[in-house]
Amino acid sequence: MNFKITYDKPGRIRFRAGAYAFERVHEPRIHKACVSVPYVQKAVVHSENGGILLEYEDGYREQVIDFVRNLDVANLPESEPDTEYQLQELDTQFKNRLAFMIARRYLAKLFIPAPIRTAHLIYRGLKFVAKGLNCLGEGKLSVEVLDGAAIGASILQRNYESAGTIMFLLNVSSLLEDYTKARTRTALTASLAVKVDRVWVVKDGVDVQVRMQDVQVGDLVRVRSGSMIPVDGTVAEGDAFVNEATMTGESQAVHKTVGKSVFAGTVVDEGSIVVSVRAVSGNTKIQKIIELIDRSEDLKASIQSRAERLADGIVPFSFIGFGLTLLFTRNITKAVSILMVDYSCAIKLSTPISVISALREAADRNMTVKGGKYLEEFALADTIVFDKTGTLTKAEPKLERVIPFGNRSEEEILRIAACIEEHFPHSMARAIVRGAAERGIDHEEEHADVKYIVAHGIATTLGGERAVIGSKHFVVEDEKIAVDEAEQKKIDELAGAASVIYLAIGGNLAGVLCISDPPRDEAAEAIRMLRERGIKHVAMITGDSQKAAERTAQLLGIDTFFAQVLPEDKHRYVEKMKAEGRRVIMVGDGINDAPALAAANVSVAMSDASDIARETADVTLRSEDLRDLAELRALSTQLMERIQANYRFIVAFNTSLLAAGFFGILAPSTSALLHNLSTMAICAKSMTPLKRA
Amino acid sequence: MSVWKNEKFWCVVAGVVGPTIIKKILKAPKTREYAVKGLAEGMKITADAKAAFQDMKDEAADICNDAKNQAGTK
Repeated sequence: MNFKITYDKPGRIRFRAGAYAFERVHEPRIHKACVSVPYVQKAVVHSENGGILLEYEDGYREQVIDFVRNLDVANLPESEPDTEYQLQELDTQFKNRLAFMIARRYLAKLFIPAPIRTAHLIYRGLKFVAKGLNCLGEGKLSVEVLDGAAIGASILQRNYESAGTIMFLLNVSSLLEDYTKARTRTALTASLAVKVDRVWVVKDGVDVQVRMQDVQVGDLVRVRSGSMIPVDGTVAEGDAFVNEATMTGESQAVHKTVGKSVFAGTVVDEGSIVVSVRAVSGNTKIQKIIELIDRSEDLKASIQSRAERLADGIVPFSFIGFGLTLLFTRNITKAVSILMVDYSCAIKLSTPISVISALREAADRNMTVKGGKYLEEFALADTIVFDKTGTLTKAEPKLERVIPFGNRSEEEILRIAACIEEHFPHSMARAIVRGAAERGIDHEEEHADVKYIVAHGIATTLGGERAVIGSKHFVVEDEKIAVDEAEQKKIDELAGAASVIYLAIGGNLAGVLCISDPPRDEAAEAIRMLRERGIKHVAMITGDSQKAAERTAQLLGIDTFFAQVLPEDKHRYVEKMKAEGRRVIMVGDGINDAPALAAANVSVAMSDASDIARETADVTLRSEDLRDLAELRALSTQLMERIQANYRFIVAFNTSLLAAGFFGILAPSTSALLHNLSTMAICAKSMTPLKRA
Repeated sequence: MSVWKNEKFWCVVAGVVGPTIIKKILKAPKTREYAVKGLAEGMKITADAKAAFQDMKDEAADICNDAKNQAGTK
């Protein structure tokens, strides 16, 4: 490419290739090519003058110039515009349209004769009047009616300047609203798309984690229990029950064996499969994300819906004000002033803009919130309920101790337990397998088929005898294995606060494995921060023993805990708290947390949560830091404060305008100007980031 | 009164002949050539104006960047 350098300072260089160097269609391709160079930090491309601005890391000037010189625009691969380019485009479009609107308004006065301008203004005004009449015809006394009436009345009074000002400001407001929504949506899509999953690809018999976009057709992708299948393909290995509800609506899981087709977006309920990729469906995932964002706008905060109802509810009073002013003052100018000012458009515009900006801000801080109403619930909640394992505690429990009973040795118990547990990707199972490996214990397959009873334990046959391993509830109550007093005393003494896994063989207790699950480092601080931000009650639900739960609760300063809770009962505790009048946030991560997550007022899934939990949850954290919860609380509270503050300002400012109009202090056009300027100002302010607490 | 001096007659003649001539002119290759030239000229002027405007915006952005660097706000 031929160019001249028009600006050249360390770290920033501008090339100009001239007006016809490349077409507009090439802009996104050139932009993508530029930003994909490792030392280029930012690129701005304009086809109008063939301009390319590059910001780069110091010391790479020559390389940057060489890169642009060798840029073969015609042969650059076609590509979707990246987010940065899309945002630059939106900004440019907005600025151009705004400049065009302002220029049209003021240049028209200079160059177009008054009668033609008036005719055009009346024509445009009639469109607003027609829109208002339309709403009135549908039985809605909305803001559009008010706008139509104000413009119509000004035209009838031959006050064309006022009518023109109102229309101009309404158009600017609407442009600003469209721009904010488009920009927020684009940024939000990008924030979410970054998360597009990493997957496990089997390469030469080894599982390797790769980025979704690096997956190729023909690759082998491993998908385990509770995970979403990320691609369309055929089962190449293993078998699993797959929930295809997202595709077919059928809630019953389908058994998929080698050779069967599986689809992106469906979830493996149980089992593990290796999928041979037929179609890479990154787009499917992105599509889902975009749908989510579109839905987010529908999932309005109730404060938003209330604001909108209130805005429309005020309209009749504006008309009553207009009638009364006319009746008392007999002055149509003063009466029209009342119509020019209304609370509704500012409330109606600023509230959704505030909400959607907060959603974007949350996304930028690695928290995905699936709708405004969840932010509102998060701000209003007074109770937070945590699942313990994997949420409050580190996801990597540690085997502390093995207590054998009967004739078997510690080593033997651990070998058998590891042998059975190694098939299941549960955190406790991993702790046992890791514990065995650390102690140098090899375990060969000695058992028959294993049966996994979700969140309870595992049953199998070992040397002709039934072997069960799992929680006390499963082994002692369900499987009726007797634990005598002496055994129980020994377990209580030695296990301390650790969780206890029971192993029984041939109907007798063979041993127990004590697993400790230390809390996350930041858990206590996160809970303290949540309390500071107005959470009154902190609870914990766990399937662990009373002792283990008590210890964790003490360590973290938790008010209430429920121990030895069965997975299917978790949601009952949440519902009970709701019935007591509490507004509950539920934080969980596992497959078994999904019902409890669904039962809460607002639910949060941790970053390493199962796909089912992430699908169910209203908020997903993308970092593993529990302090993000406190940050989200601050963000949501600040959002509510902003909406309320906006509301107070709108009411106070517009009431003073109404009064000024009523007493004839302000002319209708001045009222309209101030009213619309204040509306635009409040919308612009609502787009700014909420301050970090 | 002679028909040649009748104003209405000439209006009728003009009404019949006028559109025919205009049609001829519009369809004439020369007219097309001039129109295309004119449009191309117009498009070039628009493109040049856009380029000049973009140049100005770029230069303004560069000045602004230098000012930020000097003020230490960047």
